[in-house]
Amino acid sequence: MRGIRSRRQLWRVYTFFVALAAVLLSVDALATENKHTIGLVSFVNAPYIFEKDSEQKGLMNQIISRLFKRAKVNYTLQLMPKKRALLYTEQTDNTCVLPIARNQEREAKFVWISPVLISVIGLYQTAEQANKSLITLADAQDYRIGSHLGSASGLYLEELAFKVDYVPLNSANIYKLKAGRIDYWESDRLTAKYLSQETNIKLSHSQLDFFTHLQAIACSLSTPESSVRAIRESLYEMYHDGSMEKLVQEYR
Amino acid sequence: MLVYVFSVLLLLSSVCVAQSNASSTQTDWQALAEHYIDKEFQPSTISKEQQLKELKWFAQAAKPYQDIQVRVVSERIDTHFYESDTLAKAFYKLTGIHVIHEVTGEDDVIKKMQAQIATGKSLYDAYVNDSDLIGYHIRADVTLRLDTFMKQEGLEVTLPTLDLQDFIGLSFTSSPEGHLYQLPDQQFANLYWYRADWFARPELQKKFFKIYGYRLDVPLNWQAYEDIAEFFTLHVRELDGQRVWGHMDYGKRDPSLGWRISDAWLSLAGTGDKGLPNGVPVDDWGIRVEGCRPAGASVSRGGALNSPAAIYAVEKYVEWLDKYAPPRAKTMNFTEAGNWLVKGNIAQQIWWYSAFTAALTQPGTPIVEEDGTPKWRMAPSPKGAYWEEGMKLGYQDAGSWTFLKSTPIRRIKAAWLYAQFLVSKTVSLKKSLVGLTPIRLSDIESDAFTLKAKKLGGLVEFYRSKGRNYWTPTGSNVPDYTRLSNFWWQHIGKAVSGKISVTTAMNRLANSFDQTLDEMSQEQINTCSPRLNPQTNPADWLNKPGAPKAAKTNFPPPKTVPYEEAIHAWN
Repeated sequence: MRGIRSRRQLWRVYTFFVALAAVLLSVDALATENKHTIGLVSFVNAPYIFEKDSEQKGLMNQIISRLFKRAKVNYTLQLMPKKRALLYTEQTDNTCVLPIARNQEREAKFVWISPVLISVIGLYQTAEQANKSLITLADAQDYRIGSHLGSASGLYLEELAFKVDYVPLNSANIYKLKAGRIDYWESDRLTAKYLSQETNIKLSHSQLDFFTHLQAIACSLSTPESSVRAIRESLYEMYHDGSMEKLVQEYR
Repeated sequence: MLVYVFSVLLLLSSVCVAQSNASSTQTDWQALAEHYIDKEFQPSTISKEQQLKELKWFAQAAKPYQDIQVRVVSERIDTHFYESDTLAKAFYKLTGIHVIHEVTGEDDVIKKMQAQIATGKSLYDAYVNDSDLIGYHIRADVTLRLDTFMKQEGLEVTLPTLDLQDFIGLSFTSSPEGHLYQLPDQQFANLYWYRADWFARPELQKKFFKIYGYRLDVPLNWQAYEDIAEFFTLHVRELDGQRVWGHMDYGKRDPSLGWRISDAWLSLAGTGDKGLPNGVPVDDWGIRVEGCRPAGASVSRGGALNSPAAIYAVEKYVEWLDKYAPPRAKTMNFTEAGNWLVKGNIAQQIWWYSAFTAALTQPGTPIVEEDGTPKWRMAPSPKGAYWEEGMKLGYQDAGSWTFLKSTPIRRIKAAWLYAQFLVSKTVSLKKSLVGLTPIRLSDIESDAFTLKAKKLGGLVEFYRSKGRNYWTPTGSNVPDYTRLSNFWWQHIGKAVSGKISVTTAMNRLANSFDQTLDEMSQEQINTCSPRLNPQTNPADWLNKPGAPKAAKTNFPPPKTVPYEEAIHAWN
């Protein structure tokens, strides 16, 4: 009897410790998960990220969701103006900004995960204006090219001594194109298609795809290496198994 | 019967029209080709008939690929702008293959190639990639081997008159066994640059001799370079009413700071071992190689990256930047600093790329005489205290056509045609005269280059000498240039800003290299993958002959020689 009582006691003690261990493990797991939650910041840039009916939508939104799920890294996403997003990421631990063009100037300030987006930049005209004579980029040297503030490809053209007209909002370019105030609009394919549909202004095919931009996720230098590695590996997997192409295809 | 006769007549007439169209198209093509030969592709080392024959071959070989829009990418130098703006258009008009030749920063070219390798997504059909990456190409099994390609699947698209033996940089783009991985498109050297007109001024010569006790002339060693830097920055200070400096450089912490050191700066100090192209067994990155296996960068593993010679090299770079360069230089990157020489207020620069020759020979600038001859000269780079006879003398960059296996083969073939067109004898000499980055011996030895020599400040003399073999790119010991190259600027940048000492920076750099080589030893499984030596007492290695070399206490005296004598070093 004594023996039985003692076995019961033993069993109670055993179950107590098992329960305690379970609680401790789950608390630890929660703590680990929280530790790996990354604060993502981005900026409104349709069709990549935009808000509709109080919901964040767009290609980049979908990519982030798939990528972080695959990498088993939690994230929060908030939108803010691009310049502030860059500065905020630089100064805030465990934060990443995207999509950002990787360049020499920014290289040392962040840890990079790239390419999260591959954008082909072309020169567009309205369907009526379409001019097929561009063989090289130099052929556009005498024309006015519309761009928007903060555009890396606008800056690229400006550095090559092209005549670049900037506007604060990219969407204004399609109207300027229609009004004949610019000869070409430099844009990536998805944005050109999206804005053409939104404004009901028919565009030509790109007259010359002159540049490919690699857009990246730029993370603050303090971001845990294990998280960065997990996201990077998952990103490459998404290219290799075709899931990235499938997502982009929906927007073409 | 009438219907039958009518049909036959109709058929005959349509055949005649087709023939006449074909013949008129052929005539048009011939006229266009002759136009290009006469107006654009002159001078050339081959006759106009031979040029026409080459162009006909391109037109014929291109026919199956006219539906492809080829995308290639290269760095931002004059040679590639000429290719992108002028030659890509000529190629399209003559062959029907539309090429988008993107020109961007060198760093961006590498990142794009890396992205294609990492994602498997075909971004470009060809990359003009520096031969510095040869160590990666021969190990990673992602790059097309050109010697095999040209004999097998690429045979019908390989130009019969390509004449590989005429290329001066093939050794830079081949494996130690001689397998060709990249085809040079442009190359340039890193040399010493100085204001010959200032050095020749009697009053400055007199003043220099009075202070230093020897002639103001081309410095043969770093001691003399340092004296001349001090002379102009601290003693001369003003010339013709403007502030002048005895040294120019850059120090901003970004990737271009890495090139400043990784492009053979340590070899000029004498860090590595004797032997070409990069030093054996320790190379100009301070990496020891056993057979073909990288075995370590730190002194404790037999490398020289944190050896006394390497620390001396970087300390001198930081010291001169602080003491003798314009104050803003420390916050400048490569591109920003590159534009300074044209201002005409720099007396000398120990680390200067000849790719800037075209920009520095523009008439109307303060560094060019009214007759178009430059006021400056290029000469062999002065050597540091640890340098010994038999070591490489400097750095040469060979931007070369590189094709990744992940690109579909049809696209590779179309891009290969374009690549060959840009280096063909039909266009090569003209291109070399525009961009001044010659790749063919026939171009270098041409009369056109002889005529141009006077206006190029020593470029022709360099490329006609044996110097072109002693100025070498990063070698095959570096198993993954992209991965390792980031460490240079990240660690040395902190030493430039004074956050850490140069010794600490070099110790950390060597440690990062060793760790990465160790990771690679587990990732790359082939006969030339890295395998680290065990760590031992650094003194064991420093006491052995060769690199890593023990600290020197006696430095040779400063030495200068006249320009004519200095350029003999190239022979």
